[in-house]
Amino acid sequence: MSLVNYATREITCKIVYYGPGRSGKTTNLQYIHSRVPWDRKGEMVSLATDADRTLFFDFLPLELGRISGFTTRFQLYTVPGQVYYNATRKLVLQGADGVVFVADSQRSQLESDIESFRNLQENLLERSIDIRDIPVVMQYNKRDLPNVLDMERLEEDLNFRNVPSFAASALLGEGVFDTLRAASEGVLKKLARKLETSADVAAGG
Amino acid sequence: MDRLSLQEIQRAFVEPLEDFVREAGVRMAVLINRGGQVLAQSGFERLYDLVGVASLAAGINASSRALARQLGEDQFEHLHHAGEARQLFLGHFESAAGQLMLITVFDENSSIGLVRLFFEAFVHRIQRLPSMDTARRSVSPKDFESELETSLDRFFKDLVGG
Repeated sequence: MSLVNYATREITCKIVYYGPGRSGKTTNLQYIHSRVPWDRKGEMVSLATDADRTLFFDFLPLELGRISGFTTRFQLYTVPGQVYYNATRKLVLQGADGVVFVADSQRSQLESDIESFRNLQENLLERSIDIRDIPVVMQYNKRDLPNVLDMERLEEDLNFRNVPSFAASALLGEGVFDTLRAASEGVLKKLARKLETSADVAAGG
Repeated sequence: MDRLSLQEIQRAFVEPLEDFVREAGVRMAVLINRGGQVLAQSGFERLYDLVGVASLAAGINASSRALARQLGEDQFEHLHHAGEARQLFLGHFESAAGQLMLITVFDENSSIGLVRLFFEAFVHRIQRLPSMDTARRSVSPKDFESELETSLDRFFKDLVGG
């Protein structure tokens, strides 16, 4: 959950990049890391296998700036996409404030996309979170490749909840910041509503 | 119920942590919650080194806990990793603010025995604090939401260089 520290006037939120193996989650973070000025980001930590596949998570801390006098920070995580690593995916999802679902637009990957999205719903539900209650942004990645499905088909099969969605080519940086902006906005809007309705929280567990 | 003022909340974690660092003779210490968010720290010079350490330690804690459950335990005891020059201790405990974890780095000026001893004292102090969810609100949700859109526009313009 978002951590609002009234004493130090800081807000920290966690966004998790989810999706099937090799859909471009790590590439999203690498692109963000390569473009953001050094004083607004930390080291990118990648826990990967020898073959450069994500084993546990990638992590990138970002500082956006101040809103209403609060320094706003985001912690971006990716999950390992391979089916085999579901236990670690569940751990990384813990405490997520928002999710970016990175789908692979290639025709051959549609089944993997659908399976991964179902897996996201199940893993959230296991933590008693309804996917309708958490900000989700959809990214259709690899639009630069041949044999991609058209956007309408992807929307129909994956985005039946009509969440914000973006076409992207993470390797080239297209759509990466649009996706992050929409996810940040969703998370902070939800936080604003929570500030209005809930009791104050100085330290969340 | 006791209420903490803003200054008290800040001090509530920081003072016990600084006492721990001094008494146990460690180089660095950071208090985090289960999500890896930093509540107090001492000794880290760069914020971003700190958040990297915190996120990795939260990952270790989460995977150790999941492994323990698969083996029929609730959670393993504290973790201790020793290198040639530096050692790392990760200790978890329950508090009014949920499960917290203390991560500390020490060298030949301290020992695992000393660290464990003063860790117990630190935990006692944190556990005696009044509930952490009684802080006063000091932000207007309305202002926050109305500033949100323009702030995000500005941030992302800055981030990607316009």
